[in-house]
Amino acid sequence: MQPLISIENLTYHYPDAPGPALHGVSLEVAEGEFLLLVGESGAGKSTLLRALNGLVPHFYGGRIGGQVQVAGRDPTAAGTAAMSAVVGLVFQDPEAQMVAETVEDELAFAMENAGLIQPLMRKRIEEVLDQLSIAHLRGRRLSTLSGGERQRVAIGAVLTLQPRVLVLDEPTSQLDPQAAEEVLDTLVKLNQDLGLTIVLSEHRLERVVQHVDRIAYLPPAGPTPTGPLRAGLPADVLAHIPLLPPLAAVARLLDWQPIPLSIKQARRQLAADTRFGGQEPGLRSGEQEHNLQPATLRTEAVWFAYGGREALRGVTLAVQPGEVLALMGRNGAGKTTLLKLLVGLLKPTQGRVLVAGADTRRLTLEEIVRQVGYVPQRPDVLLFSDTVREELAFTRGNHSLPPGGPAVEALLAQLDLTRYVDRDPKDLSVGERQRVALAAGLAAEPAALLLDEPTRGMDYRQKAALGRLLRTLAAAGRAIVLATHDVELVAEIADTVALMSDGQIVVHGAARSVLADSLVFASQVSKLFRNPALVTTADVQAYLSRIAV
Amino acid sequence: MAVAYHTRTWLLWLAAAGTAALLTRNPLYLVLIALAARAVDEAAAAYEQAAGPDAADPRRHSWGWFLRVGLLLATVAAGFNGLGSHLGATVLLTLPREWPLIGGPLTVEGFTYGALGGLAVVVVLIVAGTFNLGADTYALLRAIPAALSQAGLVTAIGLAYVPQTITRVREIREAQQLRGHRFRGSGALLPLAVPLLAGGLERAIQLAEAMEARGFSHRTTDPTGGAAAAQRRIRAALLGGTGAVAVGAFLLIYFRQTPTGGAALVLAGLLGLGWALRALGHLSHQSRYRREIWRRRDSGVCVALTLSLVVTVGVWATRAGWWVYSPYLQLAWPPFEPIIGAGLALLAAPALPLLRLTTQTRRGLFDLATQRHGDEC
Repeated sequence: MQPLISIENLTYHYPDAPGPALHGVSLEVAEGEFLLLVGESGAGKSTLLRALNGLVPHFYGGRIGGQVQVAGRDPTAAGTAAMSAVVGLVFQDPEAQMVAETVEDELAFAMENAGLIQPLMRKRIEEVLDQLSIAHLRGRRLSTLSGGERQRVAIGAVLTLQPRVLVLDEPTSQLDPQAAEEVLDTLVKLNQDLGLTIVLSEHRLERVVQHVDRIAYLPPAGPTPTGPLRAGLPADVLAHIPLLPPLAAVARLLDWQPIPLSIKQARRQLAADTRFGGQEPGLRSGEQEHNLQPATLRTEAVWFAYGGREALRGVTLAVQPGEVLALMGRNGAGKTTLLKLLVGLLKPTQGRVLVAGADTRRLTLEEIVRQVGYVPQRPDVLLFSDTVREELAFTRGNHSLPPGGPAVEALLAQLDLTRYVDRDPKDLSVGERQRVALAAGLAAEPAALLLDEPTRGMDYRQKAALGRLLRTLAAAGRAIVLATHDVELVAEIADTVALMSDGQIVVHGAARSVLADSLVFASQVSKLFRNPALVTTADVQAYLSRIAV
Repeated sequence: MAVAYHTRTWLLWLAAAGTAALLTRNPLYLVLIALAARAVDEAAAAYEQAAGPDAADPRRHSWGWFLRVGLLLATVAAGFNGLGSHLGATVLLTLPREWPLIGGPLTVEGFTYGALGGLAVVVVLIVAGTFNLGADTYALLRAIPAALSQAGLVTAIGLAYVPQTITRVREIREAQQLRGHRFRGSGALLPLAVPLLAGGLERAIQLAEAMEARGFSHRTTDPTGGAAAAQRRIRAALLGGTGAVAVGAFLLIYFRQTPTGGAALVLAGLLGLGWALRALGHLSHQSRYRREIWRRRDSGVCVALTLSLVVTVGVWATRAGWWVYSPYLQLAWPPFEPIIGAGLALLAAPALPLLRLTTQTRRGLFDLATQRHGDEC
């Protein structure tokens, strides 16, 4: 049977780029297939997806070679506008792809461009509203929608042209887990109920591998042509590629065949594994010891309200030097408000916030930020200097510190930024920019560091590197507070977890106990073993080493 | 999104209220216009609220901002005029005459004139703000002729980006403050401006990509075959029309005694331009989804607003002095003509049907949500 998408020996150079973004890539996708495209950051996934509707090369310029055919049409020859009826492309950031004010206008935009008559537009909008279960959003302003709702509207906005292929470029990378789940459920429904062909790229494989028909792995472009991509059933591909969700990593450690794609499958294999016959390890001594040093950050029965709406209600907690505390909870639970109180941007309406023992009400913002560094969700809001070195010097200058010196060199080395000191931070990759933002936050040598959703948009390798870095900082005595939805990162690096809901702390305790106890806020490994001693892949590896001895 | 009136009704309200506000400095009339605008805005807000909290326009929070800016302008204008103008009979104090500009008597009339100028600006802002919040900006921009739809769409998208940009400014400012930066002096704005511009550019590229992927460039005309010939005719009509209007206007200005030739040229030029725009619209591939509904209440309100506009313009054409008020040389109570008062009161007409509808909705007698659905189509 003729494949719906056929890519043959595709090579593409961005204008002025030293090397190709794609080199001799080949891939075929059958009609009705749900294909997951995986690869490290910078491997060229977005470029490959954009070649399917002609944005590459029509929008970006550059040189293209090889053949691409989608539903019998060549996007390079046909152009993006003509391909919009065949390929619907949805992007990462739901905010950046909206053109109208209301949901209905957004859905109509592509059809207006195609010059469809009004009765047909009305019919298709009704169909899409029902297919995506977003009829209740019809009259809403886009600015009032949640991230998940916006992304579903973005999917609807391309489906109104009834394309043969839906292409999505990391559509959940900017979303919290619940919103990501909404979007993925929608895609599964579209694929299964309508037989729509879907090509999806995604970093968080654990969210999606159980839903897809095949995985294709795109390695970074090298000097030799890539050739046909390694593609096949998810379990087969996961057995060989370097990017692994935690469950697959554990399965590979334990030599489980086939690689399980869901907790349900993994539990079956665990039950058959004699190494885990009810003799799982307990917590190692010392892991639950209390740190008795004075707290770097402390809140005492803190209340805060925006206008009349209470955002925090009697929050009490303490963060010791060397401790990594993770704040978790749904959107709107109060995590970001608590971070803003800890860094002095907001002052409590009741209760006290203490930074190194001093009440933030009596400190100026300058005095607080000397003690507390802050890294925002998007590093781009911070970076403005021409070089990485100037970026650090700017923070130090704000605190009347000399621009350079051994402390700065040590920080650059610790964050693996020494080779980028003279580069423009805006030209670096997402992970590198995140590290520069971290360096900017740490340049004033604060005793505490606060991070808001630090892993958003990162792949597994970048996340692991950030995790190692934060552990090193904590080992040097810094108190670290993360507001995050990323349970895997929390499992890897947090000492304590505070679960927040409706402005209150619901649970506060040792990370392992909280994660092993929770059904929702639990890592994949924790969901599998339900044992506070086994919450990360490293725990399983250590356990295997012990039983081998 | 609940839209109280058809875009044309809102435009008529803007014309009627805006014309009156620009014609006078009589504080009684200005206050009357402001009260009418406030009544309309309150009624529209209550209508949106009744339709559901999600339907309310988040820009409504900007009303307070409008007022603050207006009051600041009025204060500054009163101060400047009071210190700079030395006319008027009621002297408050006299500054030494050798002081440049401000030396001389400072009078109540001088400060009052300045404050009235400021009040006039405040009222114009209130009228503009009410229109901006009441009318559906997206529908307004999409309602312009098909030939100019690209420009209208780009403007609409630009406006949709304003709230996002405001949020981004706040994020950047906070993030830089948390690095210890103090925003003092013009050079200190660099850490705000660079991330804002860089981020804005990046988002603009992402948006352009998303629009392109949804066939935006299909809107442009196809310069092949018959279309290419039509484009040549249109280009000729645009050039000829513009030239005729320019030459006609020149003749009208310099040969006032014989205006017929100039007026005929201007008219012919305008007709040519109109034809060119219409023809350009026919060449465009685009279609429109939105069909705004003209309801009975639109008709009623438009009758009232037309009457108000007729009174305003009619009085200005026949009794221009009735609109004029000046506190110089001796401060006196401003005059009030009942016919002008009645005309201005009609500016509040859009509030009445909305109040009735909102009350019915709150009593559960009328399903506004159902009506809202109709509004959008």
